[in-house]
Amino acid sequence: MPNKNIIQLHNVTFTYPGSHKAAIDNLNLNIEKGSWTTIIGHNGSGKSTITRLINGLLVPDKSDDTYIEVDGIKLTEDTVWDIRDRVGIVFQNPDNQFVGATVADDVAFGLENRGVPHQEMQKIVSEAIKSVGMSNYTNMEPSNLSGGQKQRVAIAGVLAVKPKIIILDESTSMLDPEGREQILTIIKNLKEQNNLTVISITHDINEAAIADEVIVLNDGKLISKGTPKVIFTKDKLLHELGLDIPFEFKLRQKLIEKDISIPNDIQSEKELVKYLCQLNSTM
Amino acid sequence: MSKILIGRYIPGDSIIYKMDPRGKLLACIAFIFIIFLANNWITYAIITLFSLFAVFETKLKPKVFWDGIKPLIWLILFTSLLQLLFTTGGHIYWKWLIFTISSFGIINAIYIFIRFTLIILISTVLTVTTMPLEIADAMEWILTPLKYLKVPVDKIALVMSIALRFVPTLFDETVKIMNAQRSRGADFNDGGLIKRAKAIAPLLVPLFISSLQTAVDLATAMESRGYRGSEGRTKFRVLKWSKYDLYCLGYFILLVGLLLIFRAK
Repeated sequence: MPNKNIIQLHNVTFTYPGSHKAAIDNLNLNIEKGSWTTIIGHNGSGKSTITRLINGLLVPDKSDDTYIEVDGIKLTEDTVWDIRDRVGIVFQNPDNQFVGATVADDVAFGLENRGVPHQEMQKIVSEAIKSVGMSNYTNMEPSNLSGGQKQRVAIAGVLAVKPKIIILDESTSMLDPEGREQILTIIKNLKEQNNLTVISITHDINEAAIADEVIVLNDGKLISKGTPKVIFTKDKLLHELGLDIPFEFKLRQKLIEKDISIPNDIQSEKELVKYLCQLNSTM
Repeated sequence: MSKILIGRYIPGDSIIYKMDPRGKLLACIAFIFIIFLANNWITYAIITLFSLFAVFETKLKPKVFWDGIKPLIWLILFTSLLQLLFTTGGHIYWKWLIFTISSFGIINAIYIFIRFTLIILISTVLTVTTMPLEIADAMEWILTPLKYLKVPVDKIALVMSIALRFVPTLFDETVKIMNAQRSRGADFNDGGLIKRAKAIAPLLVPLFISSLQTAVDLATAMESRGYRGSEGRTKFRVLKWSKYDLYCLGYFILLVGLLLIFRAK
C-alpha cells in the first residue's frame, strides 16, 4: 500500500566518513501516515542520523537495493528539494537554528527560500506565529526570547511551509519541564488540525509514552518496534540497552513484584489509577 | 552588558524614527560632505543649528549624545589643539619655538572642533534611531548596483544579517565561558600584558570551537528549511519610502542652499 506508509527506508546503511562502523546498519523502516512515531535509543545509536537521511542531508552508502521514499517520492539528487518541502525538522539547540534577526524574519525564512511573494508571506507568517501562540513577540530578537519560545518559533517556521511530516530531533531536550510540556501540547494540537505525521527523537521517556509507535534503536539497528504498551513492558530489554521506562510502567512493575496482580491490559496512567482505586474499594 | 553592544539602538517614536533607514544612511553620508561647504561663521552657525534640530527631533535625552561624543573627545581636542598651535597667519598673539597661537589658528581650531562634533552627533542620530538590522538592509540597498559587477549582494546581505543576529548570542556565550573559566581559577583582569594575553586563550579557544559548531548547526538548519543559495529567493522585509523621507530631502536641500548662499567666496 503506497499511501499508508509516508516514509519508507529500505535496507539503508550509512557510515560516517572516517568511521569504520556503520552508524545505520541495514535498516528497514516504515512510518505510517498521520502517526506519531518516537525513536528512542542511547547516545550514538543513530537516531539523529535517521532524520538527516530522510531529508537528504546525508546520503546512504551505495547499494543496489537501498532506497528512501518519502510521500511516494524516491529520494534522489533531483527530488531532494521536493522532499525537503514535505519534511520540516525542529532541531535540538534553539539558538543554533534561528536564522532571522526577529521572530517574523525567522518564520519567513523558509518561505523566502521558496520564492513566495511578499504579500502572501505576510499572511502566512502571522498565521504561523499565531498558531504557536507567539503573536505578542513578532518583532522580538532571539536574544530576548527563552529557549521554549525559540523552539516555538522554530515550529512556526516549519509550519509556514506546510510540510506533511514534522521531525522533532531532540527538540525538547534543552528545555525546562514547562517549556517541554508546552511544545508537546502545541505539536499535538497541530498534528490533529493539519493531519501531520510526527517523528520525535527523544531521550525523554514520558515523551515517548504519548506516541502511537515506539522504535528502539541500538548501534544503528532496529531492536524493537511497537506501541508504547508493547515496548515498555519489555523492561529487561530496555534495561540492557540502558534505557528507562515511564513512571506508570515502572510502578506497575514494582506492584507486580510485590505480588499485587495487575492485568496485562492495564497500561496507561488513567487505567492504572482506576484499577488501583477499584482494588482499594474491594479490599 | 549586551545592551551596550547591540548598536546602541534606543527605541523611540519621533519623525526620525519613522524615516526609511536608506534615507537616514544616505543623509548621514551626505552630511559628511556637506559639512565641508561651511567655511565662515554664518555657514557654521547654520549647519550647527540644522544638526542640533535633528538631534532635538530624536526626542532623546542629551546624555545619549554626550555618550556618543565621549569616547572621541580626546581625538577632537588633540586635533583642535594641533590646529591651534601650528596654524600661522593673521594676527600672532603668542610664539614659542615652533608653536604659535594666531588668529587664524584659533578660528581653525574652533571650526575643526565644530566639524568633528557635528559629524559624531549626526552619526549618533543614525545609530540610536535605527536598528542594526535596518542599517544592514539599507546597506544592502545601497550595494545593489554592485550586482552588475557580479558582486553577490544577496549573499553579503545574508551574511550581514546572520552576523548581526549572532552578536548578542556570541556575547552571552563569551560571558558564560569567562564565568566558567573564572570558577576554575582563571584570572582575566590581573597581571602584565603577557600574562593577560595568555589568560585570553582559555576564553578564545572554546569560543572559536563553539562558533564553528553553531555555524555547522545553523547551516544544517538552513539547508533543511530549503535554503539553496540566493537565487529565486523573495524578501520578507521590504523597505518603504515615506513622506518623512521627503521632509528629510527638503531639509537637506534647504541646508545646502543656505550654505551655498552664505559661503565665503
